[in-house]
Amino acid sequence: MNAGGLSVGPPISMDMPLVNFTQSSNRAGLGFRPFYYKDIFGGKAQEVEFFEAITENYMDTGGRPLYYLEKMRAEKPVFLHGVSLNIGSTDELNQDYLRSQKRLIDRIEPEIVSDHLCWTGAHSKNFFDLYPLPFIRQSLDHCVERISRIQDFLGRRIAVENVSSYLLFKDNEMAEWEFIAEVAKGADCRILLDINNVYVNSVNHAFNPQEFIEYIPGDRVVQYHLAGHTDMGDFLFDTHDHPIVDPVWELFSFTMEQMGSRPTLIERDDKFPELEELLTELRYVKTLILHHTAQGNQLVVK
Amino acid sequence: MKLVKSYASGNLSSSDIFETPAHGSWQARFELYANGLRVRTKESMEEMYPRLVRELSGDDWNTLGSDYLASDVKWPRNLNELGLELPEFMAANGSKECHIDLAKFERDLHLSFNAFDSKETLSLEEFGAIDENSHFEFQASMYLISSNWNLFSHLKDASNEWTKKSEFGVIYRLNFKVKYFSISKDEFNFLSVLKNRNSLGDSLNAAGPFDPEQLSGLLAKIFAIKVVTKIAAA
Repeated sequence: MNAGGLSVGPPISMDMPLVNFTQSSNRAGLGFRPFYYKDIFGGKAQEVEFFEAITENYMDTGGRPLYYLEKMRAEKPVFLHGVSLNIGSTDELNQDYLRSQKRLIDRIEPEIVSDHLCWTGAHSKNFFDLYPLPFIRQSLDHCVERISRIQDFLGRRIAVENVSSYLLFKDNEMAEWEFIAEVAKGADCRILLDINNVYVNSVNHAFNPQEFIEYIPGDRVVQYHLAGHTDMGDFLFDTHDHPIVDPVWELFSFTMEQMGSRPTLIERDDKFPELEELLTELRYVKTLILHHTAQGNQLVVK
Repeated sequence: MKLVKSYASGNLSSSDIFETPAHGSWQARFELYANGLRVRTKESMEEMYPRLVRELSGDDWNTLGSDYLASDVKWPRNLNELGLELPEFMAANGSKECHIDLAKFERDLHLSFNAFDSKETLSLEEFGAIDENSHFEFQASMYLISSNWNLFSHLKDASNEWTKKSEFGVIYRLNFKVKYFSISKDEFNFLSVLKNRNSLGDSLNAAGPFDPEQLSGLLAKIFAIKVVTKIAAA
């Protein structure tokens, strides 16, 4: 498939390498949000190399939102990013959700399909938030088993994202980064590494964010997220409504030194600024990526 | 599981479950999750029912919303659909009829906006003579509404007091915009039966004596808004 002059490979299937080396890792993208539709389709976002759409916003609608997503897909690569797969819940996997997700995947042919390593509901109720999991063997095995089933159903690998959190369970048996690495290995899935979430958690739970990054298996990481957050005084709140802060930029550079560049997305979900402000951040992402690539750090697999 | 059971039985507090954070209290952080849920659900409900929100006082709306969410309502995967059962909840809990009808109307607007429509639509010109045994198929985004209150005049101007008056209408989506217009009781009956996969002849009979001019006018309008997707012979 050729989208807007960019070479777009087929969706990555189960038997393909974890990181598809035929696809450019140097791309910078934005979230596909209605607030920016007018600018995007008015030609003001040409330099955005891919868009990421929230899966649920297009699964249950056949109107204007889906029309715009398909229109965008005809022009640029689209990634699908879910918020309600509910991977860590003790509820049964929602077959209805999976069927709808698969229909959307078949329709859009996204390059990457991702969701969060967390739970979002229980007792058949979805709470529309990303709740932390206990980092214990039992929940690790639980997540591995469920991700494997999800991937079997979808017929492709998914990427799981590390979430921001504000509380830790007393019963934790391992660090978050160990949990993520073990889940990814056990389920043979990919990782969407959210650099801002690593930083937020490092402040909230007092750990060294570089230690987190160093532990993550780079060969499973297929995408980075960057975002802003809110300083609540005693802790950081992952709000996606501010510009990216310097420590996150620094951690992004550190991450690329460790494992190379990956398609990198800037998430903005509230207090939307003019598109140009996001494009300025996007250009900086691109500059950093190219800087690291020039130093030979592209797709370093540890 | 042991933890959950202990917590449920009251033998365990949240402080036994969560680590004391490096900075501040776990309660403040716990509140972040709780408040997030409150804000998101409230915003979602208000997005689906903006007119109803304006209609009710702030307190009444907040009470209705929180009672609804505390009931046995479905919490769907999509936050945008959280309010779908509100009209039924209102009906079961003694809300005013006019407010229930307003809620139904707003829900239908929402459903119409998101419906999966066929890309194929028919124009009246393609079917010069429609057989009375024909069956019609309509876009999923087309909704028929009825109210025992002056819903449409109230929607037009909220200063119009609610009064008892039967009103009927069609909600449809054209070029991704959701619109509506009012119809007569006969037209409503006719379209309701026709939409339910009955033949044109049966639908006309169900609607009672129908002025032919009125019928051709209605059909012209229905085709013009591109809601007819298929006409099949019996």
